[in-house]
Order: sequence, then structure tokens, then C-alpha cells
Amino acid sequence: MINEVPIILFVPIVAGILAWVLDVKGVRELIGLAGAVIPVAYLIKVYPTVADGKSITYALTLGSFNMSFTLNTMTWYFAIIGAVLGLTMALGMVSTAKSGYNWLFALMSFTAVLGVFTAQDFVSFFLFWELMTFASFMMVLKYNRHASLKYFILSVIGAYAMLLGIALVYARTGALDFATISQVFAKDAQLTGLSGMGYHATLTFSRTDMILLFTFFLTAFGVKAGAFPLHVWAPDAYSETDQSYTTFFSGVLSKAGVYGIFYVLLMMMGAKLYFSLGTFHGHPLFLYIIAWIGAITVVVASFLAVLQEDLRKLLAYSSVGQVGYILLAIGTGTALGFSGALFHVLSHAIFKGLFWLVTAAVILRTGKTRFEDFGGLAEKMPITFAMGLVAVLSLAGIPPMAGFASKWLIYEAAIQAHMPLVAGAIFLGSALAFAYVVRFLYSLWFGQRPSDLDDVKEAPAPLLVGMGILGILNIVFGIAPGLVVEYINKLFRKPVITGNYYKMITPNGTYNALSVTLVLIAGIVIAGLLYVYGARARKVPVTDTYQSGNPVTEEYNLSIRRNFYRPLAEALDFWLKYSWDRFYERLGQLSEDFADVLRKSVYNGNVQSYSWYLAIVLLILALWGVL
Amino acid sequence: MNGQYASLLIAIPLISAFFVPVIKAASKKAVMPFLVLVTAAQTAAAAWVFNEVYTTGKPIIVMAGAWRPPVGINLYIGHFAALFVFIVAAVSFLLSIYNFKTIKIEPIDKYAMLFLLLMLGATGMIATGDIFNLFVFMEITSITAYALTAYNKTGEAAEASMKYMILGGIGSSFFLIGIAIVYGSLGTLNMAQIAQLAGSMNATAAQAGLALLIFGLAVEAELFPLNAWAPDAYQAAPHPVTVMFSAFVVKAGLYAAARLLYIMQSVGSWHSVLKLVVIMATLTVLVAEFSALRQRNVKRMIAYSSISQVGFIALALALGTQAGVDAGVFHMVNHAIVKALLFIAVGYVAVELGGAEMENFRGLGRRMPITAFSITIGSLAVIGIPMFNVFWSKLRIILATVDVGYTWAAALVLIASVVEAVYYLRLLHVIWFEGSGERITESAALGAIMLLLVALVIVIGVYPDYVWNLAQKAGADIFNVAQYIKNVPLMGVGA
Repeated sequence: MINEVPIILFVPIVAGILAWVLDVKGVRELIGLAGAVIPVAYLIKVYPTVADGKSITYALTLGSFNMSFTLNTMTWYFAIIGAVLGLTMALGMVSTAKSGYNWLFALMSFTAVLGVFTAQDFVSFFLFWELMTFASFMMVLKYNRHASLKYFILSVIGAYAMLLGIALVYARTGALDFATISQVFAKDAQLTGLSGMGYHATLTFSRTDMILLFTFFLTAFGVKAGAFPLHVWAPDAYSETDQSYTTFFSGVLSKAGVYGIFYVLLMMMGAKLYFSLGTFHGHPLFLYIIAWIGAITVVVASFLAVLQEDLRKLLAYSSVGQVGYILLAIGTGTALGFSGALFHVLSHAIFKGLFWLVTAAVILRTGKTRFEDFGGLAEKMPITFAMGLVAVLSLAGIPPMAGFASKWLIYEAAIQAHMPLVAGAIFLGSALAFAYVVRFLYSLWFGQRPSDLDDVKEAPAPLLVGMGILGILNIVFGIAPGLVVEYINKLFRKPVITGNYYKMITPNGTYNALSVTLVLIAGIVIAGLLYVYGARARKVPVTDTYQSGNPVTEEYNLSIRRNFYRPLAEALDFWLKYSWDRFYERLGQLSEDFADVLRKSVYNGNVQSYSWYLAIVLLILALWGVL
Repeated sequence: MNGQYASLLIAIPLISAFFVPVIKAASKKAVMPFLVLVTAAQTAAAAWVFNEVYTTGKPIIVMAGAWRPPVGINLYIGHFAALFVFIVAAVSFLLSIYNFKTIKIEPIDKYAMLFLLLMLGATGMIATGDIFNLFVFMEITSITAYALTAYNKTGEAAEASMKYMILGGIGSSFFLIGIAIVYGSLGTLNMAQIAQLAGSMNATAAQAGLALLIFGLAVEAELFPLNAWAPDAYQAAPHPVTVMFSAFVVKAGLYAAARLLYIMQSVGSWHSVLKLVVIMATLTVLVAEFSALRQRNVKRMIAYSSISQVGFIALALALGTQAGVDAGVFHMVNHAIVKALLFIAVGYVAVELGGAEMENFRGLGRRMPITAFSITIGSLAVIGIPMFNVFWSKLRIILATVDVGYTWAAALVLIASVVEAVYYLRLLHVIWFEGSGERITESAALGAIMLLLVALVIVIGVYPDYVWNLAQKAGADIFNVAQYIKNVPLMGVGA
């Protein structure tokens, strides 16, 4: 039976293929846009069903694997985030994509991500996971070979780690569908608990198995989520592609990793992992590890974001850092933490998506990417600027934006879980986030405008529409976080966070978004009145704003557009000497050299040594006792 | 129709090979069209046999001279043989068209003869039910292969052929000793009867026999470190011959090794031999992939990749489970299609642009779009991207490998697969995003062949069920030895 699920899943990829085959300007944009709108429309259509707690399943058999895809309360949440971001990506691409190639692979990854989110068995999960990696890789390959290969190699290592994990699960349970596997894990967890209390029980998965599974799946999902130390692909890959696509790439594809951690590691095998791996300071060990990976990711990525001189790189590192928040929230191991993580999945997607669309617009109109080349664009692109401001406020966690609501929940969760160091990482990350968004805000939009940017125009209409959608969502979910919280409560089948549309109440505190908004508006009005009636304005040349009495020399020329945080970089000198990126590059180089040595010594072209190989094998056969 | 007509599969190429000089005497231009005709006839015969075996579900047993086995020699065309004889014939048919473009060096009549004999040898190895007959066909295959490797008459070709001959010669000598030991111990050469009696064999003789048979075939099946001849031979041989090597000659060796391995599974050392093959296969994959990494010659690079895929197949076949054998056979089919595609496309580029060096592939996407597209699809398929055929068989192999408990082997071959992805993707970047050049008019016939193979890759990728069912039946044919014994009407001797 054809239901909504296959339509939602396959319309984008079919549209992508059509756009690629036809490749006529105008037509491909229409097809691509249609391919992105339809899934959103259908997802909205099935909302009443999934909100009721019912699910819609589509099953098919392929290569005698039974595959099924389900939209339920959980998967719908991720799917709608993906689809809305996909729609805004398509809107952006109408302006920025120059070929059918981009449409094909962008929409292919759209389908793939939805497939990953809705898959109910490991075969389709893995299949769509690989498809997602491949499609996004092709989007980067076109722009930069090195960046794309780095991305692909790390992703494939992750995917193959996952495949080993899947194969191990299959070897022990003989099943590939999530429902059966979840049951086996749940039962096995009970038995493990019992055997911990002295009962004898035969376990399906040994402790070693669980350590292996945890390592395999964490590697797989960690790569996609860009978790430290597997994040090195992200800054390059996010910057070296069509920036409209990065909206989706950074906003949604990284969430596939989060989804995997949430679904596979937590919901499927969480209990078993807890009983097998034990606890650390009263906290489940595996969650503790995830929390710390998240915390380190936040700190490292935020520091690196602060030091970037390229707009795209800054946002890319910031994106990595924000996903760290989500991991950290999952790692707290409480319902509140999970709620915060799920909320942050949404808000990160909408504010980072907005950021990348703004970036796409700016790069489209100016052709520049480095901070030192920008300035004073607020006058030229006022709407884009307004949207950029919304994104900045949301990312920096300033009420009343969606980013504040979710971060607030994460703080609450970290404090509640008694993880002071991890909470410290969040605060440090937030401070650093202020430091880098200031750069984004000031150097792009304010200050002196370089003369070559004088005839920059406002972003094209489709891009503005895309930005508008995300901007409005940021504000709506910021003022009425209850909309999201209500849905998330359904996932847990109990109210984790109480309150109403405007108010979130957790065991530790209350956040009333509406009153904050009202106070904020009142404050702005008062400040505005003061500005209009009270202040005496003095005209200052823009060059005076930073120097603060210090002489500016050519060798030490720090302005907000250039090397602004160089003193910080110098202070961090010792730490910056160590880079995982360079470490991987070295490793890659070494394996290439190893490959050369291997080839030259094994296939050395000398038939005498080749004959010796035969003799050696015979000898081994004899020594082994089989000859 | 009588099943005995299946002997045409051996008769058509053999008789036609003898007729090549006659044709040449009539008109030299007729030699290549004659090849097309013969391979078309062979494909038709193979298709009929395929249809017969898969519709009735029973193997065709051809008894030479109406002597019943085990006295007479029999052909055993079961599900596996029917499938692969068809693949051999179909690939040869495509290559007979490919020959027009790629074979310019004289003497063409010798080439045509050898071409047919190579096809015959591979067909025979797959179809035979007699172990000495297997040896004969193996010798036909390898001797024609040595000659064809040297066909280009360059120094490299001669050297490659020489290496191949020495190593192949050592391999087949030991294989022959293995046969002698088995025959000396059991007094029979019929494979079904060997399977029946293997358990009662003298333990030492059985161990030595099995080890030597597998050793001898491992050279043909390109298992590390017995595959040192392969990269040179693949690179030096004429392009159609390389396709044959990769698409079916090596498969015949693999099949023979798997068949012998499973019919002798009651031998005491069986598990040790399996384990050894698993180790060798894993090393084959690893070493070959790393060797391909910095290869500047694309044909040689794909040759290494082909060797590594063969290692994958050997790994699957040596797992000793039904799932493993099925996955291995599935991978054999997929590999035959994909590697045929890649070697045909790369050979075509080498012919048009004067060599298969990496530099010649710069800007290929603009110069020869159809060929470039074919190489792209082939490469993506080999890497294991979903929606292409190899994805399914690789997945099956990994699941089967871990299921048996060889997690380390699965991990190692997956690491090697990462390396494989790197060099193929570099090639794709060179093809599409570097350099440029004038558009070259591509041959319509070759374009059609390549697109046909591309279509197969994608169709199996999107809808693997049909081929997977074939592979399962063919796998059962190898794995289910009891059924194999039952199918051959032994004259009640020994049992």
C-alpha cells in the first residue's frame, strides 16, 4: 500500500534526478523546489496522526532484506526538522546553485537523511547512511578535492565501524530490525542486572561485545556529528561547498549522528550498556564518556571558531561546537537532558541554517569570504542583516530566541546531573560564542565599507524567503518554547518539563519567555526613547572605534576585521601546536608511504622472489600440519 | 530438448577455434566477425542451458561418449555452472565486438584462436565434474592465458607472460601432484565420487591432497602471495584479455578451489585449510588495495583493485557457511559486471588517448563523456556506494564474515576498502574536475556495451532480488555437497 512515507522519502531524490537529467535553467529550479516542498507538506499532513502517538509504516523487501520506514512521534520530529531545512536549502539553491549536479546531490542527501531518520532496521539505516555520506561528499568534491576526501575517509571509517557493529549485532541476535534487536537488548540488560546480583545467566552479549559495539557505533555517529576528535573534516567540508547546501549539511546531516547516538546507543542498547559497562562516580560510564566528548567538543571548537579569519570557517567551527552541546546534554542521562538535547537539535538546525543562508547570500553578493574584506553591509542588505542578527542572538543564547530556550534546558540538566565541570564547559563555550558572533556581527555589517562593496545588492528573493522561514521559527520557538516542549513531552510519555506555551518549568527553575520578551521590548522602547530625546550624538570616524589610544602599526595591526583575537591565539600558542587535523594528515601520509614500501617490496618484479613466495606458502602449509 | 546438447558449450568454441585458419584463408577480414558469430552462438547455447537448469531446478549431467560416471567423464552443469557459463559466454560476446576497436596487432587469426580457447578453458573448468578433466581445462586456460599475455609483443608483455608462466607452471604441477595423491588413495577421479569417499580416505593422503589442490588453484585464483604475476599480466595483456582475466578466468579458478574445498570437507585438516584461505584472502585484499593507492597507471590500478575484490570473494567462499558461499557467488557476479565495465572503459581510453596513464584521464569527462560516465559508475559501484550492485554483496560478505566470528578479517578488509575509496575517488576527481581537452567522438557500439553494463550495475543495485536469488541457488550448488553427490548418477560403485 502506498502511504505518505514513500512519497516523503523518494520525492526529493526523484526530483533531483529529473533536475539533473533535464538541467534547463528555470525548469531544474522548479523541479528541485517541488521536490523539497512536497515532503514538508506531507509531513505536516501526517502531524495529527503522529502527535496522537500512532505511526505510519512503509515496508519493502530488497535483496531479501526486510526494510521498513516508520513515521512516529520520535522520527517525525527529526524528519520535519530535516525537511524544513531541506526546503530552505532548496530556496537558497534557487539563487546559488549553478548546475543540475548540485540539485541532484543536494536532493539525494535530502532523501538519504529522511531515510536515516525513519529507518526501522539496520540495513536501510546503513544504506541511507552511506547514501547520505556519498551525496554530501559529491557536493564537496566539486569544490575541493582535499576537503572532500578528508570528509569521505573519516565518514567511511565511521560507516564501516557501524557496519562491523551491525554485523556483530546480527551475529549475536540473527536479526536486523530495530524492534527485535531492542527486545533482545532489553532482555539481555535484565539478565545482566540479575547476574550482577549473583544469579547465573547466559548472556547474548558479553561485556567485550558491548565495549566493541559502543566503540563502533560511537565512532560512526561521532564522525557524522563532528564530535572531538573526529571533527576535523567539518570545518573544511562545511566551507568548501555551495553555502546554501551547508544549511542542510551542517543543520541536518550532523543531526543524523545525534539521532544515531540517541536512538541506537541510548534507546536501543542504553540499559544493556549501563549494566555491562557499569558506572563512574554514580553516573553511567557510557553516558559519562558521551558527556565529556561533548564538553571537549564545545570548548575546542569554540576556541578554534574564535580564531578564524574566514567567515565560513568560523561558522563551521561554531557548528561543530553547538553539536557538542547536544552530545553533552545526552550525556547527562536525565530526561531533562534528553529534552534539552532534542530541543537543541531543533534550535541548532534553525539558527545555524539561518546563519549559512545569510552567509550564502553575502558570498553570492560579494564573492568574498574573509572578514578583512567585509564591512558596512547592513545598509546594503538590510533584510539579510536583520536575519543575521536573529541568528546571532539565537546562537549566543539571548532571549527571546529559540537558542536560549534550549541552552537554558541544557544548563538546567547539567546542574541537575551534578556535573560541574561539564557545566563549566557550557559556560566557557557560551562566553566564546559571544566572542565569535561579535566578530561576525561587527565586521560584516558595521564599520567602514570597502569601496568595492559599494554596489552590493540585497539578497535575491528566494534566499530571503528561506531566511524568513528560519528567522520566524527562531523567534516563534523562542517566545513560545512550550510548542516544542509539549511535543517533546509526548516522546517521553510524561511531562518532563511543565508549564504552558510561554513558560518552561523544570525541577530547578522557571523560564517565562513571554515576560522576558515583554521586558526586553519595554527596555528597547525606553532605550529608543532615550536615544531619540535624550542623547547628544557625536560623529566619530569609524577608524577610531577600536584603537582605544593604542598606536596601530603594520606588524601588529589588529582590528575587528583582522587578527582581532591574535592575543588569544598567542596565549594559546602551546595548545595550538597540537592539531588532530595535522595528526590525521600525517597518518594519511604515513599510510601512503607504507603503501609504496609494501608494493615495492612485495610486487618487486623479480620472478625469483615470486617463486619464493610459493615455496614459503608450501612451507607454511607443511608447518601448519595440513600438508 | 535433450540435456546432452549442453556439450555444445564445449564443442562450439573448440571446433570453431580449429576453423579459424580456414576462415583466415578465405578472407582475413572475416576473422573478427567470425568471433562475433561463434560467441553469439555460445551465448545462445549458454542461455538455453541456463534457462533449462533454472526452470527445471535440476542440473544437466553430460556424459562423454555415453560412459556413465565414474568410469566416463561427465560435465556437471548445475546452478552455479549454468550461471557462470552464461556469464563467460555473454562477456566473451561483448568482447568480440570490443576486439574490433582494440586488437590491431597481427596475427589476428592466432588471437582469435587463443580467444576462443581461453573462453573454452574457463567454461570447461566451471562445467566439468571430473578432477583430471578440471586439470586439463585449467591447463588450456592457463597456456592460452600465457600466450595472450605476451600477445602485444612488447618487452613488458613478454616479461609478464614469463612470470605468469613460471608461477602458473609451479602451481599446476603441485595441483597435478594433488590429483595424483587423491587418485592413488581413492582410485577415482570423479568429483562426486571423491566427495562420497573423502571421509574414508587415508588421513595423511587426504590432508596432503587437499592442501596441494588448493595451493595449485590459489595461484590461478590470485591469492596473496601467489598472485604476484597478476598485476603485470593484467597490465600487459591486450585490453579484451584483461577483461576476460578479471571477469571469468580468475572466477573459474576460484570456483574450482571452492568446489574442491567443499567436496573434501570431511578431510581432517579441512578447518585449518579454511582458516589459511581466510588469512590469505584477507591479506590479498589488504596488500592489493595498498599497492593500488599510488599507482599512476589506471589499468594497473584497476588490476590491483580486481585482485583485492577476488580476495573478498575468496574470503566469503572460505567461511564454510551457506551464507558465506551465497555472498561470495553474488560478489562474483557483481564483480564480473563491474570489472568488465571498468576494464573495457579504461582500455578504450588507452586506445584512444595512447595509454592508460593517469595524465590521460585529465578532463576525460569533457573529452569522452560516455566512457567517463561508465568509469564513474563502475568506480562508485566498486567502492560500495548504495544503489549500485556491489553494495549488496559487500554487505552480505561482511555480515557472513562476522557471523562466523572472523571480526578481525572483516575489520581488515573494511580498512582496505577505505583505501580503495581513496584512489577511485582521486581518479574521479581527475576525470571530472581537472584539465580539459577536445571532444572525441566515441564509438556507438562500445558506448552501447558500456551503457548496458552500467544499466546492469544500477538495476541490480536498485533491485537486487533477482540476482540474489540466482546467487543463492548457485551458492547452494557449491555448498550442498550431499545434493551434488545425489545428482550424479554414479554406477553404484563404491557407495
